[in-house]
Amino acid sequence: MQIKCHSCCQSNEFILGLWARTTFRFNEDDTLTIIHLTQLESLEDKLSDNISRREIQCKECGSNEVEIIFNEYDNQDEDEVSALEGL
Amino acid sequence: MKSLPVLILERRNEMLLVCHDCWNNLYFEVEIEGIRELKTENGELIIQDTKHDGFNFSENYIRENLMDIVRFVIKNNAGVISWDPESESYFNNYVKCARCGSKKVSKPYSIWSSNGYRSIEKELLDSREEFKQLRRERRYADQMPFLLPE
Repeated sequence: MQIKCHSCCQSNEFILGLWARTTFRFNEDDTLTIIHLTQLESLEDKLSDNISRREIQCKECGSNEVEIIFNEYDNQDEDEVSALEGL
Repeated sequence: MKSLPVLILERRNEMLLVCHDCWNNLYFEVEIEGIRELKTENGELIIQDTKHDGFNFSENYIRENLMDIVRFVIKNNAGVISWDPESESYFNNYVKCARCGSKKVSKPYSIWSSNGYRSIEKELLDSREEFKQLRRERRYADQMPFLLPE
């Protein structure tokens, strides 16, 4: 799997927002404590969904022009694949 | 810099939110957005907290979002409550009771009180002399202190 930024072509780090349900408590000493976090969105679904994929941001340049390649060997010639398999 | 273990909300002596179904005033739920970092190494996807110089940005983002939304709900009490025609009741758009799941959550009090009600007009009239004195002080504020004329 590969993730590529079309804007800066350099970064290997990306940021994705995920919604979560937070259960918290009001404390006696004027503070809040988080007591539970439940993920509301699945990361796998977001990566495979074309619309949600636009929410992925490059950490370096902040661009949303990101391409996800799930299997980088898909577009290779049969000769290259067989050579790699041989290795 | 490490993120704080708890969030400081504001000075208070009484409850901030209350559930109108079970009277819980401690445990609530809100939906917030957190962030995760994705990176690929040797064809594998790695999901982790995003950090910079030891500062955990993902954790801080969750805490700040939570604090922002709770402050917003408390400040805009009437603005975050909507009418549901089906159940014929009001509900909070952001906060839910964590004990019974009800959305009938609001601030438990109002500064308006029928017992201690005082109109602004009366308050202004009562404070008229005090305000005049304040204005006179401003008029002489750039001078050395001296006894004000009667």
